[in-house]
Amino acid sequence: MMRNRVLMVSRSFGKAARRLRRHVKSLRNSSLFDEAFYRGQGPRTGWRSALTHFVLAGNDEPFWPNPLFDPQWYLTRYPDVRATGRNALVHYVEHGEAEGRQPNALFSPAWYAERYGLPSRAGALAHYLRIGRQAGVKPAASFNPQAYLDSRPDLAITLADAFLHRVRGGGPFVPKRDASPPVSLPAAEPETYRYIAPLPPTDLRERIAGLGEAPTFSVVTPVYNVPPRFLEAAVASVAAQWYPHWELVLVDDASTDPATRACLDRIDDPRITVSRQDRNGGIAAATNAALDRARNDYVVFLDNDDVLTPDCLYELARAIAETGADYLYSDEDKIDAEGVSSSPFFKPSWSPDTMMSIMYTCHVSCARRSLVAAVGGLRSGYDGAQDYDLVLRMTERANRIAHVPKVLYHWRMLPSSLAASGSAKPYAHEAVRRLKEDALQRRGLRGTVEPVKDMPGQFRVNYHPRPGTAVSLVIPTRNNGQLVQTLVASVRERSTCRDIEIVLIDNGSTEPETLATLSRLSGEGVRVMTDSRPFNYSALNNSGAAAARGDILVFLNDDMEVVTPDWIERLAGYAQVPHVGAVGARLSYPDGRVQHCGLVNLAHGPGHAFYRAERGPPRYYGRDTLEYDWIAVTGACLAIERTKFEAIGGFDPALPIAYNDVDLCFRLVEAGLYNVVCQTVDLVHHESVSRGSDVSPARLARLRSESRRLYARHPRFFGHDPFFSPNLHPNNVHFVPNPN
Amino acid sequence: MTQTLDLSDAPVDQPGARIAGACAGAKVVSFDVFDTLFYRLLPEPETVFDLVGERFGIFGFRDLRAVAQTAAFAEMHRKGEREVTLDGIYACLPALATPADVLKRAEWDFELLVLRPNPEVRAALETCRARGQTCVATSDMYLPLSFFEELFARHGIALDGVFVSADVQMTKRDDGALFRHVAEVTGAAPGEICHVGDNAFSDVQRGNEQGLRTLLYSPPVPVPTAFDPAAVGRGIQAAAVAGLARSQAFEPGRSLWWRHGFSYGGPATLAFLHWLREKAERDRLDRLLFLSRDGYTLHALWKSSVPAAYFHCSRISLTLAMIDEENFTDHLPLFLSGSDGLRLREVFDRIGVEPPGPDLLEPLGLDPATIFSPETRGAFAKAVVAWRWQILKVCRECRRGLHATCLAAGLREGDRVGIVDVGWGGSTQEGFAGSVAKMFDLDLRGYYLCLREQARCERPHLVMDSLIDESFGNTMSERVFAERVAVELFFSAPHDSVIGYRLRPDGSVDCIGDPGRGADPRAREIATEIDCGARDFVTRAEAFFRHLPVEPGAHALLGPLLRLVTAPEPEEAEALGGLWNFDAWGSSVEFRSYIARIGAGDDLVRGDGWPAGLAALRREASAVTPGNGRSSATG
Repeated sequence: MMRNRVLMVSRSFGKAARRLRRHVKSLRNSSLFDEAFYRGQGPRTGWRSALTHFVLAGNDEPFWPNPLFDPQWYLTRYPDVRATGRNALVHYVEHGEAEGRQPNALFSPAWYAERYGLPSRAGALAHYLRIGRQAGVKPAASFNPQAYLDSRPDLAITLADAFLHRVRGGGPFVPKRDASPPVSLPAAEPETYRYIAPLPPTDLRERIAGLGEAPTFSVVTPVYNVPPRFLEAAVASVAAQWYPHWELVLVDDASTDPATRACLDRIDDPRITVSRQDRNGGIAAATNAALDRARNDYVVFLDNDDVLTPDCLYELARAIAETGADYLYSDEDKIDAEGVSSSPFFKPSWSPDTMMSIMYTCHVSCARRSLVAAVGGLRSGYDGAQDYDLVLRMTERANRIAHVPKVLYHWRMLPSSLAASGSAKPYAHEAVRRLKEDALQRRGLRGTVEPVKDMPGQFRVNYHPRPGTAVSLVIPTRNNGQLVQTLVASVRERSTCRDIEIVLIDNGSTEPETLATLSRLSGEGVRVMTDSRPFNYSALNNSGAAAARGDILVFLNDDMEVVTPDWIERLAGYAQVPHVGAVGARLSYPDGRVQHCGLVNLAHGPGHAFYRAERGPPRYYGRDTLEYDWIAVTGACLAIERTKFEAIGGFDPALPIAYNDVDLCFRLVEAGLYNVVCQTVDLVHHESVSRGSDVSPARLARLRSESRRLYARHPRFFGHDPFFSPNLHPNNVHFVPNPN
Repeated sequence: MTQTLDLSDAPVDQPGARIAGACAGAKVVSFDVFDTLFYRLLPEPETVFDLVGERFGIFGFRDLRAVAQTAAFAEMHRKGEREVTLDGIYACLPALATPADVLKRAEWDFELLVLRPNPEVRAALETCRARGQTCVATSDMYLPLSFFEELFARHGIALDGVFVSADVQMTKRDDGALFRHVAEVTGAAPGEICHVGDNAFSDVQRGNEQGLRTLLYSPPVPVPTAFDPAAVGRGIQAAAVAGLARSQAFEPGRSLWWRHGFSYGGPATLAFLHWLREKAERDRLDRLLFLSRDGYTLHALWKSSVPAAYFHCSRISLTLAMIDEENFTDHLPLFLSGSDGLRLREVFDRIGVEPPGPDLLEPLGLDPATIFSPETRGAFAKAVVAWRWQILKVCRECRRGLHATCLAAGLREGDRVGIVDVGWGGSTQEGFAGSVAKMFDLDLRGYYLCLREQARCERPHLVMDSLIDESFGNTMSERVFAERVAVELFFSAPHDSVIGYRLRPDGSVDCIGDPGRGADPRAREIATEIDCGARDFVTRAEAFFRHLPVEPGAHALLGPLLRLVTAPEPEEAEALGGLWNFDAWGSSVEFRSYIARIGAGDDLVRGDGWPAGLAALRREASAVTPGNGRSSATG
């Protein structure tokens, strides 16, 4: 009996050996096994030849036999092949290609053979790799290599490699353990912006009738010594509105220019009222006088030299009908004296922290008249920033705030106006500081209003943490003793906050140096936990958070270095603001370039804003300088109140490597909170950017899969970022405005 | 005094009113049974014999049965009787492997199966009885009285008397004796009896001869000639389909489009459903998506273990969803396709994009009303490219909505998914693969009613299957493709073509529809009626066909539609061809594009969408042209 069994095993081994030899021969003849390429991915072949190793283990490992054959994709796509247990490439060579099966998601041997007149589908892939690729031909119906390169000027690859790049993921790779893969496109040369007015719909009347209770608008305009042609343009822009239910309330603030007065005298339109102040009382008083005369549901603020777009009131009415908003704002651009448009400001959706940083809602600004009345209208003493003050006070009371992502207002840029120069009216700067201090006081928040060094006239809020706030740093690590040492040292040496708990979670370090470092740190008051399970960023952080004692949790990568002394106070202060979820920091590479100053959720996926940009003047309305709200912040440095972290269930272990920080931030936004980046908190991220070229197919496949999982959980954020703008280039992290 | 009323042109206000009204005042109302009070779900009575033969595997049973009936008649004459009986007929049947009693019972059962009360006549009967008139059934038939009693009981029809020739050995057809017998038994004078029947001789002439008032019954609408026995042939499957399809003619108050949906859309829908069920289960699909609008009725009728969803999309919405800033110019041909004669504004309207204003158009020599033509094509292209960022915003919204729509439809990574579309070249599947496949890894297969011959060559990378295949003949798929406009009419939906999506803040999706421009105002109602008719057919067919010895296959079920679209009668071509701007994409307020029409104002007619329909109209036109033999001869 025993003897028979031995014979059986021997016989089956003999069969297997013959099969292996046949498969090896088959692949060798096919020219589809590229040994150099295969070895370059680092398979552990041991004593076997690379080809033999691939035939035996290729189905279970992430290594591709050539730049276009994805074994895992093939087996997933063709479960009948997987069921046979046969090597994917062997099947492809012997049967699959002739049957028209694809080696990856894009290349169709049937299409290729047909297109280039090959006698058979069999051999199509080899033909492309050997001949077509070098010739730069189209490898697939939907792929044009030249167009691909044209669209990705950041890629230093040839035409021959375009398709390979596309098949293997088509983008730069995630830096190590930074869970947010960047989408990096250089700042493109933008086409010149030009405002193009839309055509009114042919069924405009029906659409307006379909709004239900159509809101009525009072456009309020204080007038003072404005050149008649600009005033006429402003009035004409109201008269040209598609939407019919409006009145224009003009209040002359005792203009001394006879031309202005004469211009007002000439106005003869029953929808327009003109009144005059007895004496010049300043813009706030004049606007209040106009508000007193306004009779309609909503108030729209129009400066006397600016222009509404013809669809302005129509779009506001639509937004009101859809959202019931109490306060609305739109995108805007600038026009010069001749009406030529430029400098569009494409804004984010309602962002309370951005609002405390900069008067971003600006124009057009529209509020329910009852709301304006409830807050007492404009306050005198804040001239130059009276509108900012009003919006802060109104938005504290508004139930709903809506953003219309369209340019509905042209702000005339004249040498004398604030639009032309932030320093043109220095008296306004002090008003800005005071109105923010007032806001903090009204809101019962502790903080300091600080001038922004690179943006004169702008002030940021440095929120102060509550006394006695305990802070824990949660830092997963593995075999990074040196970096951990640098991080801990920087925390201890540079932080002004002394009450910091440091929790290190060792994910199974094996290097003696690291183990020695961890041992030493453990003796120096650092809590070192061990969790040797397979790497799962979410699970590690969750276990660290559970063990930590702080009210504020700061999740850190182990390759960070603290720069800003009061970084903890600033992060914690923001984290304790009731409406704030996650708080991020500004991360730079050792060479000073931007690694992170906020995440944008682009059409291709999440990416770091201004990634790899050099330090320089503020970009896009201070987006990289001021405290804006963002859809997400990187998990490489993320602070959050423990109560909020626990309320949303912490990091999701189902996202073990990528996008877990994005998922956390998405959930915070879905819970009604806002994520903010403290641009004054600087840390150096010692991440090797050269890892960006490490585009292994397995990692890309995993990324793709995790990205899809992310958006399946958060479909409303698929291709959408409320804190970005649909009018900016959809796949450029540099906030490039679309040209129209 | 006797009177004969021809009901063929009487208006139909409510079921039965025209008959009941004509019978008012009669003491007794007599109803003929076959083709009057009841109709058969078969184009001719003899098909019942075919069913018996099929059930028992007796080749040529119809002929054997006919010979036996002839022999039974001879025997009847020999005995001096006036009517043959079922027993007498089967007594004359030669010895077969199956006993005659078994065959006789089978015929009895099949007769019961295929007989349906005529709703209009039944309503009239109930009206007459309700107002106190005595109502009887009077039939020349070899079946016995007990058969009729079972028939009426099965359908809940109450009568005051049943008079059957085989039972009393008196007939209507020979000398009207059966009418006299009715008068005698009911105690009514002949003039107090009103008889309703479909036969001008036995029911009307003989009735009148006996002093009865008579009504010549005809269905509310003519039975389409395509369902005449001669046109249908003797195949059981085709006959079963035709029998059910023609039954719509007996239903009063139905619209023309319901009737078309019932007679043509219904059988084709059922064929498609059978085929899809088989494919979906054989291919082990995780999910089947019925693409809008073609899959509307199909989805509503889908019953299978394979889960399915009605998937709002179109070639346009799917293509828009795959367009981004990198491939925009590749898709420029799509934006300009089918634009001949359209206004510039309409070229943007049909993709849900607000058109640009004069600042962009005027430098290009365009305005919103500029008409697309070979001369303006270049300027249109420039306008589209210059406005691309606004178009791309719509494309992104489309992509977001499509993603949410996919999730709502239950799509998951790795699913094996089938999509269902009527045809023709796989462009919608291409759009689906190009857009949805960027969001999910799917094993995608397309299932079509008909694919044009080149489809697989042009898109070899797509897995596609078609119901109409080589078994329908080498040229059928191309013929059907040529007449696709008419086919699509039967696979539409009562909603606008979906050209995009908008994701609401709560995650739900609004589909953006394109109502078209200058659209035929009847379009939605027509789609509703066709859908209802098709559903009614399928519901009835599933209940009916399962009792037949052989269920109709795809060829039989598709027969009526294929005949209609490839060889319509002139009146059919006129009815269907009179629809205009059916395709929203190429529509414009500037013109009416008819499915098939000749002779209207040429400046408004662009229709050459249905060649067979046009050919039928042209044939008809030439036939009635003065000087043509037919027209001058017939007047």
